[in-house]
Amino acid sequence: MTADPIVVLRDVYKRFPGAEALRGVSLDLPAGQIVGLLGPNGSGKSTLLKLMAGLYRPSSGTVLVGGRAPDRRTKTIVSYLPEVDHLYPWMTVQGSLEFVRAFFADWDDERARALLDFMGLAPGKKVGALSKGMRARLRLVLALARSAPLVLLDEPLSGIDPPSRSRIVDAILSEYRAGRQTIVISTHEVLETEALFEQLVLLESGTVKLQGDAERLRAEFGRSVQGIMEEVLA
Amino acid sequence: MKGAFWPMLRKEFRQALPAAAGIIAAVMAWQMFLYTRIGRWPMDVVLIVSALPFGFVPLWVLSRGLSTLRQEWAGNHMYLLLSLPIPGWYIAGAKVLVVTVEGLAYGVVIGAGWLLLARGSGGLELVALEAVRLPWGAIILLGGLSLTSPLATAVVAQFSYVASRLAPRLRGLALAVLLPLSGWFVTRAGTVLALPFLWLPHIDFTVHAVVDGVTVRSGMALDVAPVIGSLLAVAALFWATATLLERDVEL
Repeated sequence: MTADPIVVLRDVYKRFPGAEALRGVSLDLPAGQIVGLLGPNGSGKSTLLKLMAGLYRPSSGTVLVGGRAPDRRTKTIVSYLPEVDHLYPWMTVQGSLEFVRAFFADWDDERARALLDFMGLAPGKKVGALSKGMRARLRLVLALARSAPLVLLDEPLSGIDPPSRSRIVDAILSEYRAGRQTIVISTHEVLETEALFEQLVLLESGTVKLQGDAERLRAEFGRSVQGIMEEVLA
Repeated sequence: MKGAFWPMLRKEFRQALPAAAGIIAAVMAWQMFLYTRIGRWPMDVVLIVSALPFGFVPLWVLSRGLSTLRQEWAGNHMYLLLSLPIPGWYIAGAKVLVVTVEGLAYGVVIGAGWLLLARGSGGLELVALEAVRLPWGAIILLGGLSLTSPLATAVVAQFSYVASRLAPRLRGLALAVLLPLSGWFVTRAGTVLALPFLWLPHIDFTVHAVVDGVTVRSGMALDVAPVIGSLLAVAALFWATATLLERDVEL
């Protein structure tokens, strides 16, 4: 790993009442790469992203984003796409963009417009009137319209129809600023996203099972990412 | 980000508008109905029934103080709000401001309706309102008090809700405990924080009221210190809410 890590986790535990979502996770995520955060449901992927986004605090251990514990300032360098619908249904598509834009200096108007077009979203339409797939597209527009050094995409394809899936993958690829931006994509469906990943992190039951360069791991295992996942998590 | 409070405030106003407009329309419809009852119902009954919604304003402010935050969590909008690089007071302040304005707006609409009814019935002399004369100092202080009340209620509700989110379990119970506790805190802390301001002069004034054609003069004094003390206690609770939102609360 040559690049300086943009995210560092050391012996991170996250406990909820009756459950331990993360158990001693230690990770260095290199800057300027696309990282696949893989694992089955309940493996701790979303919890890990929320810790990086500053939406959760670790029960113990250290989380550093851009060299500091997540706080208001680290949020300026993080663009986070949650797995849930978090937008206001009464806002229009354009209104949602304008609302988010007001808080981020790295918002790129031209990019937002291009992404809206690419995703086939009508600016005047109410968010509540959009289909699930279109709302997922809009969430991705909001996450990618910024030039944030760290982009966290939590299950961007989950429950999305096939046309929207391929649009989303295409958008991630076309908007990725290689070398300047780190994209962490959590997913348990790797078939569509496999080609994106430069780094892999495999989680199971809140622990890291495997981490490394995607190409090297493919060569080592002699299998696709899907195959590696099946073998390691078997 | 500089200037980012306004988009947050605008969002809160826009979010509150439909319900607020509905309530104001309902109150106005109620007052208009009562207007048609003048001459058919006893006048004091009309005026008392017209003033009844006043009793619901504090409850409404309390419930709105809670629901403005609860709906953010319920609708998953906290994912958005907590991922913004803004201080906690942006979120808390915009909500408190909107709830306070709502409370004041209801008060004004209900009060205006009541006055119109009183005028329409010719019963204004009955309540002697027109004849009451207050000095400007007292008017400003009373205005401040009427602002402090919804503000304090909204902040107490907001703090209780945010603090209850820190409980890993039984958040409803935590909220039920925190609500009276933070209300008690504002009252007690307000009394203590008023102490350094006791040297401030009282606002003394005489109320001239005409009751049944007889002018009644009564001397009154308003203390400034308790108002300042209460405002400081509310500010402390607001600061605590903002800090919890920014540093401690999770999704």
